[in-house]
Amino acid sequence: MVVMRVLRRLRARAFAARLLVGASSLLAGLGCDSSDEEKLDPTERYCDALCARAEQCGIADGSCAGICNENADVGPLREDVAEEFASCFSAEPCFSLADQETFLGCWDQMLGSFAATEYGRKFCVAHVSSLFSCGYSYSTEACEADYSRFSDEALADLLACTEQPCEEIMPCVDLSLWGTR
Amino acid sequence: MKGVLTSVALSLCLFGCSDSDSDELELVEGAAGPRAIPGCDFDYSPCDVREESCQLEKLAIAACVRGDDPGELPLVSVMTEAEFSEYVASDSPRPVPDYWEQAYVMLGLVEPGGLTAKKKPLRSSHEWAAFYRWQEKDVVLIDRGEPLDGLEVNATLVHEFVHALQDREVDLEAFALAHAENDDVYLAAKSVPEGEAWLLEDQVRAAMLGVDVEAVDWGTRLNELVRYGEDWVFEQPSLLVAAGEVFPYMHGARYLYPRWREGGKSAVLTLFANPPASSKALMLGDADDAGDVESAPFPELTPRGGIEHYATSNLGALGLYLFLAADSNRPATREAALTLRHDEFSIYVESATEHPIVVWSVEAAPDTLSAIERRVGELFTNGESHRSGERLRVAASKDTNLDLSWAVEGEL
Repeated sequence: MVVMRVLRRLRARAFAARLLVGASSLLAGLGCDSSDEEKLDPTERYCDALCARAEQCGIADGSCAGICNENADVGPLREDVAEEFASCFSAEPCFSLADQETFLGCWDQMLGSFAATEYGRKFCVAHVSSLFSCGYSYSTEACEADYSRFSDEALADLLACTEQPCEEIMPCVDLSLWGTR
Repeated sequence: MKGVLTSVALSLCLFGCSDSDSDELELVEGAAGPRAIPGCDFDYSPCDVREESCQLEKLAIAACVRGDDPGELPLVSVMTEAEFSEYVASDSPRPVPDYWEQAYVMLGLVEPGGLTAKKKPLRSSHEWAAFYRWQEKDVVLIDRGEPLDGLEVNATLVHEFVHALQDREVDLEAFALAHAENDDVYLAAKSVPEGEAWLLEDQVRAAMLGVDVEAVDWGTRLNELVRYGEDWVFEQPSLLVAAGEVFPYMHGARYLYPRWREGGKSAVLTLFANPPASSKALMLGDADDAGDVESAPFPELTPRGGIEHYATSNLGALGLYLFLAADSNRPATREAALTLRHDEFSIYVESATEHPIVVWSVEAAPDTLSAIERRVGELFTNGESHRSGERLRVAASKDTNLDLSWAVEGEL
């Protein structure tokens, strides 16, 4: 019996679902528009990689990039993380490309793979202290592993969550990162 | 005779710590890591608690946060899970027939077999990481063939070393025996050593997690842990047993914290000399507000018809809370339970059938007494009650033919 709250890992499923938006449309399959070499933001990088892989698999049509860019949102992620994320699923077998578990697997694979930024470290000091005060056990190391995947801008928004009452902290984090509580 | 709290040698075990950490606490490479408690500059990294170097480090930490000299390393021994189960079973055998268990089952406080379930390995021993034995003066680690190098088992070792340090100063066995007059007194007293050990263990847990102990809102944390602990208790089939595993630690730590913060170890030693007298004090969080007043004892009963007195203890505010809250609004029943001033919980036995008869005498606010009467009415077809002012006596038996009128006659 563990009468102590242990923080669950970040809720990645909602995020994967958002990244998967439009993926089912790719299965119609006539190749996708991967001609755009300008990768201006993480979402475009992500969509480029996804569409390229879908094209290889013969399951994307020309609307791939448009649909993906309109619907996928990798806003909270660091750019390098978004790129790595896309690379990860690009190596996945065609049959599992649109499988949520594939995306979750890539998400977990990146856990602890990126060094925390200075801001990330400061955020984690505040976050673990706040959570510990609320009865949770969550280490700075786990926090940095979890949150180093997010941009400093996203973490700046999350910092306000550490000031919330206990029952509001994690819903606030969910809302800030995933747009849902 | 005592009911639930019969175990003496095992009574300072730490509940609730698994031998291995969940993956949520998995440590990864990075700049983050343990953060020393100010004034106690040691290595807080989790280590293999079977190794002497690790034990010495954790003893040094325990002593530092307590304000002690670590002295010699206590003997640290290891039991397998099977050995531990056998030890628990032999340490606290239950009587046959077990009237205490039958009485608690009647009140819905314990499931059948609940008091003997500790003999079953999967019901208890998997939840224990280590314990301190005051007779042997050793710390026992439970080895389940898994690594013993996680954060929680390290925190548990600190907890047990705090008991070893307490024992050098206070004589824990004598302390326990001095406060064994009834279950509620024992539970409240036990909250001093367990509360201190939990409080210090939790400081070390924070440090190991990399949390700045001085940035923690400890009042909020302890309230949250109490709340979470109570949630857990009410999910268990044997409320009274579960409460015994939570209450001395969480409520004890919450009770001790303001005193420890103000007066440090000397304030804790004062509590060892004068521990809280009831679970009510701990539920309130401050003995000064416990409102304990001298209550006249309840008049003795003269049973009839081959019925004999077996034993008397009490349930206290905690037992009353568990009894009332089993299927109703907890905050309200907590408030009701805290109006308790005095109770006596007796068991009588009808010699022919060996059925126990429960007689519970309670002094509390009128609304609380009404709630008890209602609950007894729900649970028993053969129940009697007698009320006078703010005093109530209820008697109940599963034997519907048994005459209980003797229990509710006369003055209260």
